[in-house]
Amino acid sequence: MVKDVWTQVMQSVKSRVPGSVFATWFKPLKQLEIKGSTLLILAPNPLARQWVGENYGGLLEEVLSDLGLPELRVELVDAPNAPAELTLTAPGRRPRAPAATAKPEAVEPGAGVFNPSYRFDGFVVGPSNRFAFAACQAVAQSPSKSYNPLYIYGGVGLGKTHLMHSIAGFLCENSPGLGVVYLSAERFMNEMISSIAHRQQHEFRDRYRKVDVLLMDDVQFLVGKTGTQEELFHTFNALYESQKQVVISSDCPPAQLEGVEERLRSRFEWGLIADIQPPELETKVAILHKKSEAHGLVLPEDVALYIASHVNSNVRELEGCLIRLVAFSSFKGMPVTLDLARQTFEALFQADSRVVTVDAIQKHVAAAYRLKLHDLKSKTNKAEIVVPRQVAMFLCKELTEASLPEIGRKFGGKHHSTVLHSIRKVEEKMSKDGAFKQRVHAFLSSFR
Amino acid sequence: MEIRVEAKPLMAELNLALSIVETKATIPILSNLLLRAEGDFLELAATDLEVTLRTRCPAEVIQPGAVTVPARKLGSIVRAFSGEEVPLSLKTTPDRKLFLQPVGKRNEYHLQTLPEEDFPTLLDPSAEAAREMDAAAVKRCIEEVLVSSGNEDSRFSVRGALLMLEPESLVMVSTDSHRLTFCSHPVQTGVEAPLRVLVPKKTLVELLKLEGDGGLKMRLKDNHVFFELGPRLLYSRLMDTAFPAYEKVLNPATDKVAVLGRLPFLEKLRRVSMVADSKNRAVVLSFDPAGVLEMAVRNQETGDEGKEYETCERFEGEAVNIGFTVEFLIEFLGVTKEEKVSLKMSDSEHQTLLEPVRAEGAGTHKYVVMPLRLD
Repeated sequence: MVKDVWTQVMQSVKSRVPGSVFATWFKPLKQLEIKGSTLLILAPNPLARQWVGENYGGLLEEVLSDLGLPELRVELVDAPNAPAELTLTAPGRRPRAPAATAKPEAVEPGAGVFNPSYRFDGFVVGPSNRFAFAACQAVAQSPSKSYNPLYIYGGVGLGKTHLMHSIAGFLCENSPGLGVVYLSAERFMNEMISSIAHRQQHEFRDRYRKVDVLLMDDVQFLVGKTGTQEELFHTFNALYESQKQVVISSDCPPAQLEGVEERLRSRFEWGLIADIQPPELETKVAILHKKSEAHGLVLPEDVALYIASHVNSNVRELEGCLIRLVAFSSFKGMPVTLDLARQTFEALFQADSRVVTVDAIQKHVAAAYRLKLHDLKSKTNKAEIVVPRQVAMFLCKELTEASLPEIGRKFGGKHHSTVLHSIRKVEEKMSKDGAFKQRVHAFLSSFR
Repeated sequence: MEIRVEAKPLMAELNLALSIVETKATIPILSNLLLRAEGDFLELAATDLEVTLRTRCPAEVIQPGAVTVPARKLGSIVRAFSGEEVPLSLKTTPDRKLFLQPVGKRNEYHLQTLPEEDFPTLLDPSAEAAREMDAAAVKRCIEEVLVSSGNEDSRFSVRGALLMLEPESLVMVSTDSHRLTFCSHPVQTGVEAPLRVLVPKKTLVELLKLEGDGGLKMRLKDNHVFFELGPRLLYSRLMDTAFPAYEKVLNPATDKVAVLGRLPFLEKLRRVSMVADSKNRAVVLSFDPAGVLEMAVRNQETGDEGKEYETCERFEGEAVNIGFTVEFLIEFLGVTKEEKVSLKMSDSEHQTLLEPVRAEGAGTHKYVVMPLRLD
């Protein structure tokens, strides 16, 4: 009897309310019994009881009177704290919480993972970094289509990280659906270590192999860390195969990443390699102007030139000088002028202009080529010694006041024409061989 | 208060009371026992606020009164004196200490006390109607059900057991989310309508310790359950957690049956469990269609292996390999008393039902275990 009544009521209700309403609110209701003139209905939870009672109470009454049972009254009850249906589980293994995030930290703009103040429009472009800048912009505008992988390298403080952050920020703003991950190689290694410790290697792999854009900073950190290299190798392959963008930064070109496995190095070379050179004087001046704007300061041209010509190559140093100058001027309550700049940096720049000696150059070059000092001064003409010796001579001519005969004497009594020949050789090689030129420039900047 | 009491019977009651007292009580008075001298007995009471025991021991009461004393200290001193022939004299001194001395001896002890008013109020259920049951049958039921009582309260684990009184049977159920015990014993309970309460594990454990086989009186009052056996009254708060709906788990679908002699099965499992690793304690039971059971343990940590063989008295079904936590089997086999047990299985993904083979009408004892996943 009960069943009959309720089935009829349900059929009637079904024809009067939208399907979704019926499925949500009426289907879960169950009839219990008829107590006198009360039809007892069990609602699955208090919310359902309240909702149906308030919104469809009238409808139910209507339906009942249509069915010829106007005396019946519907009473909804819910099962308070109905006990849960017991399910036994296999012992020993607690059902692990689902991996922290299926999708890795899809970075939102300003989410703190990367610095929102690093943007493309804050980057001062000059001849030294134009290529890298354009490459990064291309990647940001169409990830995994233009250059994959993109490998950026350059010395410290030249803006690699700025460019990486800019790509991430640009992507998050313009393609919010993409999973963008920026991290340093060091963090990659630490996370891998902790994943091993916590037996969550699977989650770790998942996290990085399912991203859309992976930006990894300072890969030179991986030198000698074979386990992490192996992991990165597989991550790289997984991403590359599924055509995801990879951007890598380092302080040297892939070929010079000694201690990084060949297969990984060669993969870094697959895509586009862009270098960032130390900025020229003009760029440095432009950077100073840009930075001083950010500090709300108008930097006089002569001051900018003064700082730019004394700070060698590092943008970070430039910024430090600027901050120092701003602080100085506000302490002393004086406007920023060339005099103030001279006062501020007098001690600093003097201490910096070290006197470069022939001995120091010889030592440095020998160490860099892994030769012994006396090899440089010996009479052997082996190719592996000749080139470093020529480079060292070239550097001595460029960096010291020493005359050609003096240099010759310091190199084990060579004739001054030998020295001249060496210097010409180096110049010639530099004009032909880009990598060689790089190297010589690196030597030069390390002494300046 | 002044009394003379024999050390041995006092010690017996003290032992019961001491197991109620928490070792690390947060409220100082809960480390104390209440002693009350009255008529011709000394009443002792101990509580941890959840479970309370009131018990008494015969004494010569010279002056009635009450006091509370540190339970463990009193316990150790009385234990040290329980070899004495002469009774102990206990009395309160004007400086609020309990003076303790074997009658006629020169040794004396003065224990610090706390006033009796500080002790939690004791409940007296004697006005309620009592249901009297056979204590041995109840204890039997508790032993069986404690095996799978959980050590924590969660959705599917209850640190206690469901106790149901029906007119002619006593039913208890417990689960720790990996296994479930359901036991039903034919007991005249004296209830007209079924009654269902959730009793904490500690209460059940302490109830087992109470001696005496006579009638166990059970009373219910204000969310408390009272058990009275002889001179001892044990009571506790009822649990207000919801016991999961266990009925569906009780009869798992199985297609293989093995009947084994309980003692040889137990002995071999105990032996082979010695090499099991400390973490998952796995034993793999492999039945072949001829009814030969291999119990294999392979220690993943050390590489040790152990195997035992046993022939089933009866086996029906196909060959099957099922892994279990070895203690789960040992505990069940250790608590049942019957000669034979049956295992009803399907595979390592589904529950196995273990039952002692019992005569019709001797009650049921069902033990449902979730196997270990084999990989």
